[in-house]
Amino acid sequence: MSWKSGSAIIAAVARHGREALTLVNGCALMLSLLAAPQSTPPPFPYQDLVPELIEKIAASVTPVPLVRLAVAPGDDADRPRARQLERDLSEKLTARGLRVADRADGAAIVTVTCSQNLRERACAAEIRKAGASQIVTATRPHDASHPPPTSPVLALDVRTLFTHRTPILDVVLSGDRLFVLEPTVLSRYQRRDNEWLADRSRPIASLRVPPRDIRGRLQLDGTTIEALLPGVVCRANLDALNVTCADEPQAWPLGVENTGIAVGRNYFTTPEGLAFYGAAPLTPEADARWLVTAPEGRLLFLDSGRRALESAVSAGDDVAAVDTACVPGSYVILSARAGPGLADADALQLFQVIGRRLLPLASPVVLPGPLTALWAAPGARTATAVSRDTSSGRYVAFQIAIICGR
Amino acid sequence: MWRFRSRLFAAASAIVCGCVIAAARPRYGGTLRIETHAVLRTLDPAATPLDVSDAAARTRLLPLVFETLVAPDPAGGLRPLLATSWERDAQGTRWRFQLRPDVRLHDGSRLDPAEVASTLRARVDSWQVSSADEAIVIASDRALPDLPWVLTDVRFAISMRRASGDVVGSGPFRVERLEAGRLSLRAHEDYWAGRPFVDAVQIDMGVVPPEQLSHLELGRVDLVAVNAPDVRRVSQRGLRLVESRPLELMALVFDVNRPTPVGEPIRRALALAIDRAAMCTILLQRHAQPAPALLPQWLSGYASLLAVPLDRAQARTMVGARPAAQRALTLRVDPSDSLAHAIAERIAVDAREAGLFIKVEAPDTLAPRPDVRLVRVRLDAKSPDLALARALAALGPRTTALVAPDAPPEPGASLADVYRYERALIEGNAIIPVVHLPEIYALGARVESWNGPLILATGAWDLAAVWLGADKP
Repeated sequence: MSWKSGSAIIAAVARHGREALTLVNGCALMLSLLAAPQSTPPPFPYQDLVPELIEKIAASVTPVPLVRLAVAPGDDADRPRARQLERDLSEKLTARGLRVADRADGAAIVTVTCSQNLRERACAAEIRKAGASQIVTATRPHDASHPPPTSPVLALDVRTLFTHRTPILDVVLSGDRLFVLEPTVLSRYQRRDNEWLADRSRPIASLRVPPRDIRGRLQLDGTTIEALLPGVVCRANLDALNVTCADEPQAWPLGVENTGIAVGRNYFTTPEGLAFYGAAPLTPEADARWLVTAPEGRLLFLDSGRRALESAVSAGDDVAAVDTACVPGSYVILSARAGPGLADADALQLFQVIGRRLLPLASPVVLPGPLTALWAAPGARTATAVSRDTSSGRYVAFQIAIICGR
Repeated sequence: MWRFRSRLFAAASAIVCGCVIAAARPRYGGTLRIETHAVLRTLDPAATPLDVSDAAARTRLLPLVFETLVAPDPAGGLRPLLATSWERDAQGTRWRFQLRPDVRLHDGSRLDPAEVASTLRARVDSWQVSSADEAIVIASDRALPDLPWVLTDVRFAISMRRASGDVVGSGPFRVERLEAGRLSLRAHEDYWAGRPFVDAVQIDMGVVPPEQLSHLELGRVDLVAVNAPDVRRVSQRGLRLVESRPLELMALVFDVNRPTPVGEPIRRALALAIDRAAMCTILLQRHAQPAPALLPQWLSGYASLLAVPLDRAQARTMVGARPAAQRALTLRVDPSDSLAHAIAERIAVDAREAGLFIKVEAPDTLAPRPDVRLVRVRLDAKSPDLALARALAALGPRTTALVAPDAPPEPGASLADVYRYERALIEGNAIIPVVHLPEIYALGARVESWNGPLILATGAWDLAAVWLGADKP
């Protein structure tokens, strides 16, 4: 049976002696393209104005060598960039021989805002010293030959990879082979004529009682595959798939130090004892080292010592970091309930993290049901998500990537 | 799987609907019914507005009929209207505007560059305006660095008076009739950007806001203006709202011309005591922004530099240091402006926290001069210099001359000059900006908009994009 609609062909195949499975025939649910993704904010849209502003500030504060710097964001949307701008200005003023101080005593107080009006993009600095106030500006007309940096459009590309009747904990592709981890079985499928054919399955033997919300992870390492389950590690050769398991705690490949999933539980812990469901490593512009989803849907930023910095403004149940070559930055996929009318479904949304703020880059992509897994290897350009389709009862594994348009 | 895909498409559609109201292919026909409080008195773009109401009506209604060469682009910069491109010489004393070809006026005649030149020449004596090929050239002895921005004003809209006495333009609608309290427009069949979807627009003017809302709820009208406090009522009725970016300022203006004006410490204490954020959130239902300056951030780009923090402790200290007789003020509002009255009462509550006692009065007869007035100032979505000039005009030249003795910035002034002047205006707290308000409109159930919002960020009405769906229960 197959449906054809637009550019996506979805085929469901059931044959004797074979596992019934679904294969998306190289086609994608490019939903995010249909969903009118929002423009990605460029790294800093006023960067071209900064050198001129620095020149003017430096000329105005002289001979006072001490500067107290503050950035006044134009509106809430600018707030995440304010910290970034403050750091950038501070570095550049220091390079000009000025000393940027935290205290106002004896310093020229410089307050900067970068924003735009209908006529121009503008960075303005108010300089107060010795009881007098002065303004310096750097501006570019909107229609001048200095256009603002182009804004690439980022969106999530969600492709169905595999569906199954029983719970899928994780899937991993290796050429034409697909490895599927279920709570008690590790299976291998072979791609043939655009179908996934069951090739080999091996039971996972463990004396442990699995938790109700069991989670599992696969990772490839050369010719071997490792399956991580709560308190259990199984290893197998890719070809022979001869699975051997051991009841041993092990850190999971999350990009943050952890002690694995506690036996009989569904959360990870850091060496310091912080419980979390998922983690996304971040780049410096995020002004935090990790973003983790903590119990009760809280999002926490962690510093390099894995200490909680502050709660993010948003909430989420799971998180994964994905990389893109399109625009440098920290990008995370967050899952959350899809909202009214879709009570049983979760949704995935792409965010950029700047200055401990989450900037939504595209509209949420609604899954066919609740999300049961969201994994990404550190530095990977794809993530794997698994959802239970509430209408069919099947589990669906998706491969998720960031697509970019300029 | 199909259900999944349907859901995804439904989600995608919902998202698209969030940006653009476009549920189906648009239909042609029907009459769009609008009610406004403002009353348009004359259709001539060159005429001086007779009053505040006339000026407000002209800003929104005349561009439906008459077009300027260029218009502000809500995304920033200028967008072409009757001129497709423009260029200037190095000194900015000579500008050349290339006109759009084959533009038809409402009487079927073709837009004539010589007539365009003649129209503009009549508007400003000091300009030398000529036509050449399909272009017009504007020259001046003085540099006009921002002439295209100046030309966005509706008084530079191109209108032609015919021998019959009719005034014709090139806009998406032509005037069918202007009678007492009602303007009737018809779709311009040959409009260069495509015929409007609706056949006609009927605008009933001089209708007070509560009546407008009632008429909308009864289905007698399709588009009305609403005040922020009424937003919840509109939403509860299932009606849609659209709004511009902040285009109106509510400000306290002290009467510094009185024999015993309120002193600066009391004025400053009041500025520090007003909780603008709470006012915007609670009273104005998040349909307002705290005003740190006369111009909102999106029109100036610098307003955040002028923010005054809420500091009741300091305000109390300052008030406490003044004699008791100076701690009582009278605040006047327009008796017909219920929103201003509500804001004034909120200010009085905040002031009391600082030890100031404000009596709000809304007299409809002659009354003694108050200490301070709460005024509404309409702003223009223009370049910062022109937007500030409009605000100054609304505040009155006497007021602004008293608080800022320097001459206001000229058209085309630099951002730094505009900032300096605005700072001088507000730093003595004789004028205290309170909140910035958007223009908010409620839409009837059958109003749809094709390929873009019906109310632009600049407040302009894009009624050519409106189409009327079937009446919904």
